[in-house]
Amino acid sequence: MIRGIVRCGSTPVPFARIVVVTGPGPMPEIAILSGPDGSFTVGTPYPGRYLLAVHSDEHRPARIEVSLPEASSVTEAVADLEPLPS
Amino acid sequence: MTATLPAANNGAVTTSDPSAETSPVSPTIPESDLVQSPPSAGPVGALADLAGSGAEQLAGYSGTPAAPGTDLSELLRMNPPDAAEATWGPAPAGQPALESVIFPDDRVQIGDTTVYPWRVHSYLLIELSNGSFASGTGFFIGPHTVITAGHCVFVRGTGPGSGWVRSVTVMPGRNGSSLPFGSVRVSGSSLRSVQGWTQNGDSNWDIGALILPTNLGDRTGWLGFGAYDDNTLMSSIANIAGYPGDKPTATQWYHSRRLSSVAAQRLFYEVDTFGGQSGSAVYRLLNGQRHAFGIHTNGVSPGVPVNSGVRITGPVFDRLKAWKA
Repeated sequence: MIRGIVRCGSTPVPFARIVVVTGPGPMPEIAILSGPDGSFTVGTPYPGRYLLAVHSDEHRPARIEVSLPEASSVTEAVADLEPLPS
Repeated sequence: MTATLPAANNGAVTTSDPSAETSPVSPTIPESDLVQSPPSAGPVGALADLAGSGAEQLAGYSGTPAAPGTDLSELLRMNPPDAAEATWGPAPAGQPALESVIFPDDRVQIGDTTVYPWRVHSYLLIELSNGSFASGTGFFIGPHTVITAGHCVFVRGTGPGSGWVRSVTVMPGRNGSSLPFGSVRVSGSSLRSVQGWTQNGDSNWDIGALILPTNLGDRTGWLGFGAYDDNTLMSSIANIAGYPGDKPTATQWYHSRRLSSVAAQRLFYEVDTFGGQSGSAVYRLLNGQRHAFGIHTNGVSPGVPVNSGVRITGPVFDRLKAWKA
């Protein structure tokens, strides 16, 4: 499982869209939404590398890559977003 | 054929029929024996298939279907460049590089989602079992019935948020903050899937349905659906509209391509998709009639460099027909 947070500086970013771009096996094309505190979890049915994309309307998109030795492993991830130029 | 398995330890009896319906609460709405119905454009405002190309005609959409014969084995060898590589440069060694948006990204945004067929496609706000949220896509097949992926109503696995979702809020034709047809929240027995997904985790049965208490589909219209043979599918354009998470919040986008390959229970295509489009219809347009022949479920994965969905086979067709109300 990937347990993460989306933030901009020290400010949590709610309702960001987190998507598994590629994983070690077939992944559902659903978009996870970050909570009011910027937190999110992504289920990981396989061990291996996961590439996540994080999108928010007010920020530049970001990518996170994590690797899990076991499908049941839990890893932490942080998406630090930069605000779009105003 | 349905084969009854031995009773489980808890006394429950299960069956091996993957098409058998499941729901978090025993459905109280009787299933009707509706026959197949053609698509309905609903009230006025439908787009016609003026060009007869099999793809929707949209301003700014180039529509460049791949030539017939681009099959999955060829695509496996091609390892085509992708949008991420164009944007961020080549992936570091060992990093997965293929993506569900295949370069160039020529998806087009639907500006007016209030006309048919765009109002058929619905943004789904999904409340998972742990109270967190996700988004997906669904499409009407009748006045009360929205079809989506099974994983939009039942999350496989044992992690947080797994199991039946708490609710799904259906927003037909959502366009950013605009809800031209309002929204309907469904839960409990209004969520449907099949044992092939909820019990077996079989991606060939990754299908679900939302039974709405109102006849909202009479205002939006709906897609027809059908089970077609391989030759018919391979000569068809695959059209997909949905709500990708890499675009501005809850905006609807469209793309089309010929199918890359068909398998007995799966469809493979280069139609660009992204997370948030699970549950979208994969549909054909012929003589002004739009019929779904698949349900989008997956992006690329190692060994499968194209997007894919559940094929509407005979048994899937029967299940959808039973859900149609």
